[in-house]
Amino acid sequence: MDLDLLFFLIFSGLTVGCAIMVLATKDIVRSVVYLAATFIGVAIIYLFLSSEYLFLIQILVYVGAINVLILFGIMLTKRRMVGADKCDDEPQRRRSP
Amino acid sequence: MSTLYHELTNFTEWLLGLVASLLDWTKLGFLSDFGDWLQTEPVVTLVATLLVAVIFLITAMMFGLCFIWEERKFLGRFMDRRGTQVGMLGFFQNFADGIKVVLKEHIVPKDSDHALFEMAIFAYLASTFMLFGCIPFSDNFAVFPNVNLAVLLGIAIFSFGPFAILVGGWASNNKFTLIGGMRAAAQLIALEIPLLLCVVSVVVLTGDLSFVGIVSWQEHNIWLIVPLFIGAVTFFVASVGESERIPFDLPEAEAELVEGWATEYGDVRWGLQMASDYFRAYILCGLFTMLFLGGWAGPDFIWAEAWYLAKTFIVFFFFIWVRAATVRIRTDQILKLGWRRLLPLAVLNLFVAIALKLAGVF
Repeated sequence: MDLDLLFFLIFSGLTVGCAIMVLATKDIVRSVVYLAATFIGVAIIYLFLSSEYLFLIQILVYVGAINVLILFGIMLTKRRMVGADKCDDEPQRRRSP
Repeated sequence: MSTLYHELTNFTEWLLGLVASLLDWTKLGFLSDFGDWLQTEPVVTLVATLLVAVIFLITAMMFGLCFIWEERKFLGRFMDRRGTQVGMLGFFQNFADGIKVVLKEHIVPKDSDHALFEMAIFAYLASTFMLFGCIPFSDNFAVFPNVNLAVLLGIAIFSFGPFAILVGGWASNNKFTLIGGMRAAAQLIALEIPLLLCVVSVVVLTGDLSFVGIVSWQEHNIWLIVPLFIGAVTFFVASVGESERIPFDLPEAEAELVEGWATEYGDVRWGLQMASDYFRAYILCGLFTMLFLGGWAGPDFIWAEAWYLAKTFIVFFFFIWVRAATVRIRTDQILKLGWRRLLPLAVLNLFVAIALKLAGVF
């Protein structure tokens, strides 16, 4: 099998898998982490299409800026929603899977 | 490709040939086939690249450790004391700390998000170590000296830091780490934009995104700190903030936040996180040297690498000076400084660069 095709399949599979996991996870911060993984996967596919500039800009803008802003927005909202300080609020609550 | 790479390719060919002849000596068919496969071109390239990466990483890390030593000694002198005294001029203090940290137990807080807790510190450290590869010591001693987008690559990896810090601060499930992570991310974003604009002004003047191009432009014309003095000062202030050092060390203000976003990390992870603050400072000093001080260019009586390192150490001396002379400032002051002072200055500097380019001075 062609190595290029193999790597393309691996990374596109990872990208699609992470994109599904963004919707599937209950924990909102985890879904942001999966979103970052999706962006990185897209960036790696750009690299395989030999457009390095687009790859770097994708990492710089989407992973470096957009994701951090989303995380920031999440953490500035209600603390109970974010899931921090669970011990203080409800000691018996189970972690969301 | 660099000279280091060529040397190591020859060495790898010799080494793999030796291994193959040893395998051949066993007189087992599949082993000698394996030996033949070892001598094919892709394997040699892979092994040589890995060797270059490891040698470069270790060299850069040793100089990063020298930065810790430099800070301890100079900070001691600034405070009218001697600084650390362990071993040779206090240099072995680093190794003592390293051994101590390695011997500690790995502790994960019970209520933390285990997977993200481990992932965040790994991502942070990996991005720091990747940054080492972006800064060449000279056009010979480098991982990839003449890549067109080397500067952009460095900045793209740098922008990965805040994300890892925020996730790590959240995953520890601790008030201090969460606040530390938020502060770190806000500060890094506020200072990253002026930093990027200063880099853009250098790129405008030199017309090149590779370190070799930028350095050779400065060799032929003038060190960029002279025409772009505003940019150099802005870059310096922004990079002190980016490396989270004293006037801007809110993310890990010891008196209020224990250890910032890394409070819950123990053992070698914490040790490497602590060291990676200095590694990032080293990388920013290296970037400053490359962009404004002519990189490895200098008179021929010592090596180019020595010129680069000497300039980097001098830039870091100013980092230490700033640390010794100033006190920590508030969050709103940092953000105000970033958005209202440094950003306009960086834009002004960009205009200066464009004007110089359009007027045909360079």
